[in-house]
Amino acid sequence: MKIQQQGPFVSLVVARVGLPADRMADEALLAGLSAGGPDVGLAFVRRFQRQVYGVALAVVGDPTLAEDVAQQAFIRAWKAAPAFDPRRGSVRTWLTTIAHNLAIDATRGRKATPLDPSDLVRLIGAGADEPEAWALREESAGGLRRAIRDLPAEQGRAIVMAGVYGLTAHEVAESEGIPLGTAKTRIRSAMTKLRAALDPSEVDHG
Amino acid sequence: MADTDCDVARESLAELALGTLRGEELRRVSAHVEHCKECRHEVTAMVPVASQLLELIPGTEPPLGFDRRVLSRVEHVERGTGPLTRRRGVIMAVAAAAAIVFGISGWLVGAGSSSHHQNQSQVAADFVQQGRDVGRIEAHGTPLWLTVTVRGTGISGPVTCEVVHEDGSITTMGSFDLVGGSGTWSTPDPEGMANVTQAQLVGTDGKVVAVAHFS
Repeated sequence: MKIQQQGPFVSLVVARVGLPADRMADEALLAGLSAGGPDVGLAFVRRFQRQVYGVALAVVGDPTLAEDVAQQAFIRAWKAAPAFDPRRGSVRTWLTTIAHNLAIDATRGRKATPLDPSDLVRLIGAGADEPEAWALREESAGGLRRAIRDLPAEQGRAIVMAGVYGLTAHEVAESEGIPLGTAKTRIRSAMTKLRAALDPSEVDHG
Repeated sequence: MADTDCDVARESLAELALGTLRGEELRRVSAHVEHCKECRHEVTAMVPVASQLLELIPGTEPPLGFDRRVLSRVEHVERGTGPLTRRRGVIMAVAAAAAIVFGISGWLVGAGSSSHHQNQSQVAADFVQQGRDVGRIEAHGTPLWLTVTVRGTGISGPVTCEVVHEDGSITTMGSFDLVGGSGTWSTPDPEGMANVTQAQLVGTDGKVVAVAHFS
């Protein structure tokens, strides 16, 4: 069932039961954007703004441009809310993907810059952090960080450049000073290994 | 069953799932995946990895008042009274990239600068997607009517029609559904058509589907 069909129900709940917007489920918040009043909109933005802005900032690198991209992502989500299908993923993933695509569009045509090794360390949590912070990251990102750490370093950089920073294989090749074919192979090999690590039953090892 | 097309396409499936393919390679690999069940399955299986990669990015608190500014922009869009303004530099960069990626073409039928209907720009241009003509946008008549016709885009679902102005601002004109890659949408009395330089169709994932340039 598409979330659009939940809209009137959500509005009814908000109006009659007085369920605070900040306690509503993600899908209910999204469905209530157009009919639930400004409190629903505020709750929706506040719930996801750290992740959306964080994605935008990581890709574009400029706080002013990142805010513009993040705002655009919320506007896109608001307009596309009726088409959201929860069977295809969570609201958070959907919204983050929108922000990521917009951020990549905003930086298209840029000159590729080498990935700072400290960025990779920060993203995969390989630094000497507090155990509590480590545990939180492990919980939120599952085994992906472990899987990236297990990759050969050059493959880890390639998949992070492409998947996180949105660089094309050409840009990865330029940044790393390697042939295009090598960059494509590193991205493909890394993806295959990450798939195997996350869901071994899905991967054709042939 | 693997054939030559599959062998070639498989070199780029990971990039397709990550959303980093561009231009002719994107068109070629997408076309292959569209009819190859095996490769489509591969890409589908890679998408969760691509999504999880984004979860690695740490959240960052935006500047104070971000939430209110978002609602303010949403309100403008809802009322249809305010353009979704982006920085000019961004628009120029996107437009330049779009010109390369989509092979923009189009033409200006008439010109005017007044916001009054009769004097407003009466324009027409072709929507182009990866070098292919996939439709047309026209604003004409008195009162002014805006008509968008799209075909053969290869995507289905809602798209938003936006116009980009000379100062880099963007006005959202409206949304409509593409079914089997095609769709038609029109509206009378469109606001925000003065001084437009290009129109673009944007999918729900934020990606530009096609661009029409008024030159």
